[in-house]
Amino acid sequence: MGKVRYRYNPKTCKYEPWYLRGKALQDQIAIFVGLSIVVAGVLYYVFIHNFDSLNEQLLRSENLTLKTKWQILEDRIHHAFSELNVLVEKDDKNYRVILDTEPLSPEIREGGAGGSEKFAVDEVKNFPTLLYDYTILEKLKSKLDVEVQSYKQLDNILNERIHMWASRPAIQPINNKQLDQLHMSYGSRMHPIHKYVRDHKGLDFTASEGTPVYSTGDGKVTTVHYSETYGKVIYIDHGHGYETRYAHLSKFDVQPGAMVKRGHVIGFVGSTGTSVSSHLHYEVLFNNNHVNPINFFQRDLSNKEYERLIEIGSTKSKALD
Amino acid sequence: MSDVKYHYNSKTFQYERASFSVKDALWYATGVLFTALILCGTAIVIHDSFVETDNERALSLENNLLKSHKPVLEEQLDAIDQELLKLKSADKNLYTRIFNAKPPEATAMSPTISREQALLADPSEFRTLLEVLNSKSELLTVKSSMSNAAFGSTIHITKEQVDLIRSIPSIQPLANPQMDLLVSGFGERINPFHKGNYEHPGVDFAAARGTEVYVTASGRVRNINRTALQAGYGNYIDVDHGHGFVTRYAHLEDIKIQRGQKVEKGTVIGTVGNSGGSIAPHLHYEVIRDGEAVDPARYLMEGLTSEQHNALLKLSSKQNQSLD
Repeated sequence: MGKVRYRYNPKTCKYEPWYLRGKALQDQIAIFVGLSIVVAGVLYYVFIHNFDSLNEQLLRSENLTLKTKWQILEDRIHHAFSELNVLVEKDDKNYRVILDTEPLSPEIREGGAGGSEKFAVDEVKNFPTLLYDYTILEKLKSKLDVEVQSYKQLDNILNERIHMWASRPAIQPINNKQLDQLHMSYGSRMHPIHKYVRDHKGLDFTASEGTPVYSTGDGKVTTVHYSETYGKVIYIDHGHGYETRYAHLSKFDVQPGAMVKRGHVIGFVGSTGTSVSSHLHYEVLFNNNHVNPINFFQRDLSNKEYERLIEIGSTKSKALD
Repeated sequence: MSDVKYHYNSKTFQYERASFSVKDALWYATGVLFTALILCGTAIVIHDSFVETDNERALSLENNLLKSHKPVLEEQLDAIDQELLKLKSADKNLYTRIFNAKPPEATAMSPTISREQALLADPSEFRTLLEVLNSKSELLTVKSSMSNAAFGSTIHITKEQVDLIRSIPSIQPLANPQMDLLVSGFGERINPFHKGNYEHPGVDFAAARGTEVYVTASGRVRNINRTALQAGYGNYIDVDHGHGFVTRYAHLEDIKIQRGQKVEKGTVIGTVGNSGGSIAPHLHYEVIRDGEAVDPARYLMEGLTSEQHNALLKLSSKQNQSLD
């Protein structure tokens, strides 16, 4: 206040300069401070009741960041889950169908799940998100474990099957591109030496002496010997009920007990035993019963070739043994 | 002594009563407010640093939990992701070993051939028949608009044409809603037993044992073969549809019809099995036309959109191993 203030003094009848000091000043200050405190109190009350504290605001923003990151984590869990489900679906609907195996039972699939109690620590228990994520993660883990085991099992089954398919006598025992060498079909034939009709239990392939003879499937050579009728003959046990025999050979190229792969040369065509000319006599046995070998490579032949074969086979000619 | 204050006005040379102006009041209020804000702010800061609200307690607890559990979960997830990757490669490996071909990519289903091209793939019947039908239907519209009575007498499709249409094996031999059952097509494929190439004379539909097999066109059962031999076609049915069309359904488990029986398109004739020379339960389906095996996928059009049919053709053209 630039202006000096005056007060009229009736005693002196004068205007006298007046300054704020002493008790007046104290009063003024008290009023000012009092007012300020009242206003501050009102403000404080309003703030406390209507706005979060600074700390809370800080915590809240931190919380938001953490929850966003947590969301990413949850998305990863869900993504992993859906990927696993795709694999489970393939397992059940594709591989188990293809491999002709029963699908895993729901009990096995769900087995071991239910680990939510494991995380029922108080601190986690009160947070549904956390508890949920741990539970779902636990489910994911156990489902994954089951699936890993299941794939191992599938792998083993496939190995077994591949072994089985490899041991099936699926090719022709000699190189026979033109099919001209398949002289004989399966069935009862006139015996060329003894001249009586008897069951001819194999296929004859005419071929010049020394033509290599192949094992028609993976297996173990059980017999390599000379017999009166078969001549030099090889028996191969393919497992899974299959056995093949290669007769009238001129020479052996395997030892008994040897493991052979499909396509291994095991001997050479000849005319030993009761045979009138150089040829290979080939038999397939399933569970100790003779079956027609042509069934095993029929699908390698075109329809026409196959029909021709049947035609050749149905004309009753002499067998070569 | 009165409390009235005066100011000396130097212009009028008079003492004038000093009044409390609005401006003064504003100044005073601002002062009060400013002081109040400082006080309030201080109080809040003091309050915040000494008093922890429930909200804060909960929040900091949650934050700490989230912070401490995140790495735990992350670690577990990393391990799971690793396992999943391994499993995925095991899956690819399995597929490759079963079919001797790369697994299909997820986005492999893009139509490349138009419906018309697909029809042109075997044009002789479909096109001429369509033309005939189109011209007849045009005529039909004209005629019927002229006279309803003219309808029956002038427009008719010959019985022979109907028979021909009926003899084309145009439906799929089993329910294939996802269009994913056709696993190996017609032509040169890998033989699953000796792994060499051979002519695969039909298409293979992989399906679970016991899945129903439908006859794909009306006709008469020409041949039924049952065998326990694990080679060749196994249990199979040949159905003669006339007009040179014969279809074959091989590797069946059950056969539900008799030789010589007449069957309508869509009749259940048997169930999928694993009989004969088969490495997996599947239906081997052949279409034999005038004695020659032809690609059955070309005919499988009925009830399919062109996209679906193209998807089927695409699957069928894949070079892989058959199920024999």
